[in-house]
Amino acid sequence: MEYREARAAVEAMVFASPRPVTTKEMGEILAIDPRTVDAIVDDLRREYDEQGRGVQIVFVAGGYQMATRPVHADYITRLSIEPRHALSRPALETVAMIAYRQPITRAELEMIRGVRVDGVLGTLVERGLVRPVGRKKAPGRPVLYGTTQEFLRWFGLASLDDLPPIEGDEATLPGIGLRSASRPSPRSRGVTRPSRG
Amino acid sequence: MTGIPVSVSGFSGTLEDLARAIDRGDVDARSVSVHEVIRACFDELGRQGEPGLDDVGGLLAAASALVAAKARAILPPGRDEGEAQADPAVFGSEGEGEGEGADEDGEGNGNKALIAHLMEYRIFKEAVEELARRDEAWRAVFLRSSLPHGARGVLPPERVGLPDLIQALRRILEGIPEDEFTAIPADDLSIEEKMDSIIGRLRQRGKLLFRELFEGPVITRSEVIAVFLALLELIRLAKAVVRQDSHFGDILILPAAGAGGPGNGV
Repeated sequence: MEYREARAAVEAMVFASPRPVTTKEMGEILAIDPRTVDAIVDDLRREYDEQGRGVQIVFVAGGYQMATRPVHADYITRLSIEPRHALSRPALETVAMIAYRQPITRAELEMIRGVRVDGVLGTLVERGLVRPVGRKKAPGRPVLYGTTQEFLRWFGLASLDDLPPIEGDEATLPGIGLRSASRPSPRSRGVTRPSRG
Repeated sequence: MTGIPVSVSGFSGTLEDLARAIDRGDVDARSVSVHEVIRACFDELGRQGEPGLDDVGGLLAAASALVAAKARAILPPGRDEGEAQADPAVFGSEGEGEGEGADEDGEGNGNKALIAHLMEYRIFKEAVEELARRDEAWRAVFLRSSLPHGARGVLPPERVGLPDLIQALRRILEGIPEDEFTAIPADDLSIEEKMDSIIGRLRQRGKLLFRELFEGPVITRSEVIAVFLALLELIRLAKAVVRQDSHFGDILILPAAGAGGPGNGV
């Protein structure tokens, strides 16, 4: 397959996909090296930037996805297409704790936050940011919660490795077992932050 | 003195009295939600008309006393009187000689656990700031797949149909693992009990969000479906109505206006 044809096909797939489409998927479909797919996407992104196009390709939740640019948000909302609601402070705190501590039970979340989290947890589940991932082997077999692919899309994260680093580790916080987010992401391609232009 | 009556579990009186009761140990500080109590007082003050400066000042002073009383009750003592606690250097020392002799008993252990959770909470708060920034930044980015969803704003307000309820149910079910389906005993699936539960909560609160029906102990697909069927039955019997006040807004469950009155929507 010629580069020009593969480039057009990659652009079409990323445009049409309702979810992030992975390098591997596109490589298999087009029977080309995944590294070539990445090069093509970089090429497309560079072209979009240079031409000042209204769309961009972002790398979120492990794959590529077409997105608008923040600078055009106002025009889009005038089409009666509303941006998603911002998360409330309690919801942000709860989803952050789940992201770093997953899998985690509701009782453990309540222990850390010091307040009930039923309502917030329900909202996060309904928005698809969090889901039950199993049951803890403990009395009552409480439900364990974890984050979803939608969580990564929501915050523009390529993977959980891209979570903001936090202070502290298991050595200084006995019995807490924080997930370390300080290591660099192997898949962080520097394209997860929305381009302003 | 605020003079505004407050009522919590096992106590009824003014804010100042509540703070004193906590100090005396008459009221369990852990059972008192400072946020809710103070908010209720401010709501009450607002209902009494335009509050004067003295009223607001008095309430703030009483609220401060309540916060201080709860802090004294649940936080560990400082190194000496008047010193603020929450010094990480103290927490990291495993309480050697710091706990005034209380370290070896349950209270000391409880304090250590509390401190650990407070520290963890503080660490998460820093991560939350960054997530909040990302949340805001990415709100202005419309991902390809989010456009059809956002453009689907054709549902007439005030009317919720069966397809809308089923769609809402589907979203609830998507958050529940498939393997939970057979894990529930059959005797937990009484539709009548679920109906009674919904009616009881409606009487208590006046209205419910659709998603609230499936919070708390409801965690299996079978139970979600049982609750949903109970809701449909209540609508059929004209005991409850459903409403949606805005496009993509929460679906509200309300008690029917009159006995035997027609349901709304479905």
